Amino acid sequence: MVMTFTADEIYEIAEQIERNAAEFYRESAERCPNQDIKNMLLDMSEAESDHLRTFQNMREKLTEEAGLSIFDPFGRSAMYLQAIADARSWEGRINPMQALTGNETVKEIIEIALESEKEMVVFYVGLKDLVYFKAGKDKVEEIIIEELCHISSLLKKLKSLG
Amino acid sequence: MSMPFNADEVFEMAEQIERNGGKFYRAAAKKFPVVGKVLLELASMEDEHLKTFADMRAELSDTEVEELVFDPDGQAQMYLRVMADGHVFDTKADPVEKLADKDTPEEVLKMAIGLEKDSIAFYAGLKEAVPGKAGKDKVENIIKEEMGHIVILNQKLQDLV
Repeated sequence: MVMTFTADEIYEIAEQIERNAAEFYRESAERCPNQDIKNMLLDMSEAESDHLRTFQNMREKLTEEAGLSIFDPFGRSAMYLQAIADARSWEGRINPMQALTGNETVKEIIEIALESEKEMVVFYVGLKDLVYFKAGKDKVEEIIIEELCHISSLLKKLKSLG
Repeated sequence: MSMPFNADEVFEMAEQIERNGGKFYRAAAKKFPVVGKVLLELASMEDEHLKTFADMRAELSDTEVEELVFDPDGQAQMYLRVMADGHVFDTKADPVEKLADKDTPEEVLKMAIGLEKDSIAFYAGLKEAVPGKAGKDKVENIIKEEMGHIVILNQKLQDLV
């Protein structure tokens, strides 16, 4: 297996994940006939946009610190992130929009969102390991917790739909 | 299944995830001998995780057993409850039955990666709910080992392609 990720690329992937997720939730909300679920999806879209800004700030800081923000002496975290990317055949990017045909039911949209949120959690758990500075780790941890909350909300809605 | 309202039930759930994981890997190793060695190694690692969670559960004080896990906002508990309600984890289902429609080693390795991801997503919530640094560190170590399992499974998958 070839290790192709640099620190800059990993943050770029995280940014793309959040950009795609925000777009997915916004598009899904537009198509959703249920006002309650529409509001939830719009809130999640806004949260993902906030995460995008966090990763953009972290990436800028990475440049300022000349790469010192990444610590992975044995390459284990990079191997993990590579494995996650390989397993999805997504070339390092989660793009839930690719799964939408426009004919999905609300239940199907929530299930796609749920899978995407789990993918985000498993990716960020690996990313957190790579971040060298504590403040950065804390930021990634906060994002992981928010994605866990999204999973909670999605699962509750799914259950309410029967 | 019952909802994990307290620490004892949450750890019981984690133990069951690991028990099912070990059982799944052993059955898969038997069905697909070509990847049997690595799957049996993973089964042994899941056994170790089971012991860790069982030890953590045994170390809970009488008060802790009955109390909610440390979770002032209730978010971690809510997360663990919904994760455990059968949609993501059905711990009562026989993991061996999941193998019935898997016909190739590639399929079983991909399925195993999916199960490891679900475990990581559950333990990420569990870590938030466990009180004390020592407990969080133990869960964090298990998360890191599950991440390692994904790397091992992915390497084996690449070898087969």
